[in-house]
Amino acid sequence: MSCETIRESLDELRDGALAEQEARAVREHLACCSSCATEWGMTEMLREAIRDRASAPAAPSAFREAMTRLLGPKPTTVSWVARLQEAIRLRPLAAVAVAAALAILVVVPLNLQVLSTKEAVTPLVEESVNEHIRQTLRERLPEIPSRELQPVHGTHQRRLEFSGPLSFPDDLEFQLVGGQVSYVLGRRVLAVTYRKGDRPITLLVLPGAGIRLPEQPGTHAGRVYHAADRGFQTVHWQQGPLIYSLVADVEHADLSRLAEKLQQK
Amino acid sequence: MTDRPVLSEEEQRRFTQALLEHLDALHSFAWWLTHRREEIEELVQETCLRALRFAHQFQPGTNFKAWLFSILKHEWFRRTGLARREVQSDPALDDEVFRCQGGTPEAEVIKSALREDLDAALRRLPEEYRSAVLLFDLHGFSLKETAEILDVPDGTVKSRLSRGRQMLRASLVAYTESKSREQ
Ligand SMILES: [Zn+2]
Repeated sequence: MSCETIRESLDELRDGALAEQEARAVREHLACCSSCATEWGMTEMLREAIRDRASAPAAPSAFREAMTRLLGPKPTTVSWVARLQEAIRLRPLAAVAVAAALAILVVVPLNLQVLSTKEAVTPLVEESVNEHIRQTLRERLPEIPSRELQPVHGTHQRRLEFSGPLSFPDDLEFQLVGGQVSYVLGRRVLAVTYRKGDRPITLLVLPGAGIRLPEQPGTHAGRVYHAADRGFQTVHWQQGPLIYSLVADVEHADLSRLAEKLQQK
Repeated sequence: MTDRPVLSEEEQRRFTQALLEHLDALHSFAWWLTHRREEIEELVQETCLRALRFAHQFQPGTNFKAWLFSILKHEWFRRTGLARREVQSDPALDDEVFRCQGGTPEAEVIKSALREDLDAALRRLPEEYRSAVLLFDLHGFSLKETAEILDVPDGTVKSRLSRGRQMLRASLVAYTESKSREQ
């Protein structure tokens, strides 16, 4: 065998992927060809150097701890999948001001990240429900307090023009809890939490590019779509470049009422 | 609404435990793909999320770690739009580094390379080469597993490994020589 052929099979020898006879032939060649033997030795040295000394930073302990803690047994009515989904979402979050959150919503649609064709039919319903579960299981308060989500004046007003009203101070039925910048379907989104009684409701505001709304149109005015998933009701609609998704464990009619309020300008 | 098979309690526990065992490896691989901490953790999180969603697709008896890595790599491709993009040509650094050879005994350079030297050399490698080297040489995946994770033919992995290591070695030599010139 030529030196060239031998060198091409060195990684297979390392891998134990060569048949016994071939392996023996390669070893015999290495024993009597100093050039190939040097090549073998250099690569071995390099591999050892990489294994021993190149950086391979472990997961930060806070990240690991949060996951381990949340993965452990804990009395809950939510499924283990939901808990793990929450766990793996947990990350050290920098304090994010609402201005930043809204700036993202305004900026992102302008340079849209186009998803691959495979992802074009996006599991909007499923991912919205996942995000709702994550939001529900958060052990911290939302980073964006409710007062900052009110589009009252000045720059906020301008930045919120895509979003419309998010809070209804005179409405006792849906109480705005707060907001959170999150990551859903490969994009940054604004996740807003409401409460109806003791039931949390999640509103997601997503840049809409590449997302397909559920097929069947909803029953009430406007182009509102609804679907149920894992016992949760969901409602979705598009406004300009943004998609709005509501998810909760409440009656469908309740969500529709909130959707109507949110669509009012 | 989903007809996905549900794992038993015991399966869930084992799955979770196995996932946690590979957290460091996933983190380390993600670190080499992107140095932005936020993005590293998002990548690892998304990988775990997807692993869970598709837990029923994992084939028992195959390498769980390789399966997780392929999810991570796929997620990275999806985010960066690098999917299946073939390496167009060898990077410009080739000419530069290969000209610097000679003088310093290479074996000495490799043996005495410090973490910062190795990191700098790895960082200079184009991602496709670096990933192949890290998966095979550092994480200990087989050629076949590496090919599956990177979603390329086995032969491509072999050539990326050989090319990648050549560039690494040349880069280390060049680096050492430039350091000794400075002194
Ligand atoms: Zn030879």
